[in-house]
Amino acid sequence: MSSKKNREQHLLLFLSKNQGYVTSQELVKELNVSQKTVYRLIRKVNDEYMESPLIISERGRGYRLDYENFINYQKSNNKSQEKQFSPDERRKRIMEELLLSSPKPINIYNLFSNYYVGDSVIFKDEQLMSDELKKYNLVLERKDRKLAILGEEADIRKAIKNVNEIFNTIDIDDLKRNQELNFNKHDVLFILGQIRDIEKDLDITIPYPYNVNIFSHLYILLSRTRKVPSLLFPDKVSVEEMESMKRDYILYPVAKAVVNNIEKYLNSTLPDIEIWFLYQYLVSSRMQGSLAKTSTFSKEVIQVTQAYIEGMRIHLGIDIDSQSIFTDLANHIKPMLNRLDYKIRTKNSLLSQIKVTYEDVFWGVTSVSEFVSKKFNLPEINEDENGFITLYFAKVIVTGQHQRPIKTLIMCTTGIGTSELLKAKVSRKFPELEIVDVVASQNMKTFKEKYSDAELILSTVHIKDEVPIHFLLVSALFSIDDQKRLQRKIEEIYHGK
Amino acid sequence: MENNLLYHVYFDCGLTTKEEVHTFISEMVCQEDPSQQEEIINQLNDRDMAGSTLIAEHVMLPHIESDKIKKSQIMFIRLANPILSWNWQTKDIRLLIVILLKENEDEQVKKRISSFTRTLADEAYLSRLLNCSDEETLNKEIKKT
Repeated sequence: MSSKKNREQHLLLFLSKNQGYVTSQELVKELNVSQKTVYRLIRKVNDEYMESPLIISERGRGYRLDYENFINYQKSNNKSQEKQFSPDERRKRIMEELLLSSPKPINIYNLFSNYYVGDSVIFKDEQLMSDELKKYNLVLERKDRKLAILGEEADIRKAIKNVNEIFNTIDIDDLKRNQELNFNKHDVLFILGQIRDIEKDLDITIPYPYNVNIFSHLYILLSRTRKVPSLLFPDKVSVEEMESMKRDYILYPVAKAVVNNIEKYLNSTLPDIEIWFLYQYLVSSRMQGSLAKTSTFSKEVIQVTQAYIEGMRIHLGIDIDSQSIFTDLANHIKPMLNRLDYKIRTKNSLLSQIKVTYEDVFWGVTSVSEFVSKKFNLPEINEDENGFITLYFAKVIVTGQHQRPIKTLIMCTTGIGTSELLKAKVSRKFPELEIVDVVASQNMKTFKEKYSDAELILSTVHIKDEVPIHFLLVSALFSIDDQKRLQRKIEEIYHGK
Repeated sequence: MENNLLYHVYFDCGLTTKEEVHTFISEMVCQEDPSQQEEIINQLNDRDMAGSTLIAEHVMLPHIESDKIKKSQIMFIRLANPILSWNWQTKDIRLLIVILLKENEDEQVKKRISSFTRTLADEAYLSRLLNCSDEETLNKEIKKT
């Protein structure tokens, strides 16, 4: 994705995060571009979205997202556009073809004939693809006007998965119906059946994105095996590793059964290493259900989990009740350590949204991850994983699990009129407020003494005297606007301003 | 305790301005003493200026505590025609629920009034009160609390 496209997305996400208007100055700061670029970006987004403007502007207030339009836009944006390929897409498609047939060489003329490009472009594409493939430890070889990709099977599959963006965006429930995905329908139904069987056998459900991960793995396995005889795989797994897998009485039989089914489906035999590959995916998936509810963890899992909780506690400067988050997080960390070990990358399709919405948490997690991977001698923990972990801590913040309640007084003239009504409304919507009493404004003096530890007064009436604590005037209606102002006030109090 | 003494319903009131409403309330509270009526009106005006008592569209909840009030009560004033302009920011008022609290009222009574005000947080209930077409239905709705 070009940086321009990124900026557009960043702009849209930032606006979607802010419910009200955002000034162009704020956008300049957020996007780190000039005022002119901001205007140009907004015009471009609105021009591209034909029906009505996606970004609404109002003089003196700034910009706001038309949220309904935005949701529609996102949906339509996912649809495939006309069949004209950008250089980037062309290289991806060619690379995918080569990867699927690896290690068989393919004639360059055949590869590029659909794209009408000259020799110099082909030469440049070769270089760029070669660079890209290096990331997966793969080599692009040119011989007799033919190209071939060489390397280990595990690396090839990883590359296929990352090159083909469909695998990163699919919704597994969508697979059966979606015509645009261009998958082989029989394969899709077969694989979904296998995943269902796995879930049934283990009495669990495999949640998104792990189900998509297993789906992609099996789909690629089918595509690969049809194109290339499996005997060519150079990968080796040590005897000890195989033995340790076989000792897993729960997951090993399941992996074995699925591979057997695939052999029948393809009508050809598969090497044992396929069981090993699939087994790794199963171990690395987060499962929900009876089997999944683990509360006993290895020492490493416990230590890593604790390191995250401690690191984030310092970074966010909040009290995290480690009881509430530990089991959840540890259940995530356990398969994550496995994914790291076996280099299984689970694409996090929410990543860009997570980064914008929970920016601070995300960067905190990123730095804690760096520390963790050094301390525990782990491979680098990538952005996708950091995104998942971010959600666990974001949940703590959003649900206010970490925060002490704010002692609040609610006030009106009598103490039983609008204030009592307000109390009922507020306590329903703002559980983080502890309403200590409902009071009458004329008794200011007495309750100031009585509730010296109160931090906030919510009032439906103006008061003339200076108030030594936080004070917010709201209408008895407790409108959306009041609720937003209260939300801001609460944040102000928590951040000690 | 008898609800009837606490709740008073005035249906189809032909009041057309805020001033008329305030005068009406004061007359109901201190029927026998005109000099005290003025005091009540002043208090209602002060409360109105201190902050809006609008609690939902078309519904206001004015409330005062006063030594001029002999007996605490909750008044339901259902207007015959909406008051389109209550003040510069409050428009189209159809129902007023007025809480009148005697000074140094008994805790027991205060609690009952509070628990009544809390029921007004239920928007569905409030909208039923607002849309009662006759006095009897309105009375029935109120007795439920």
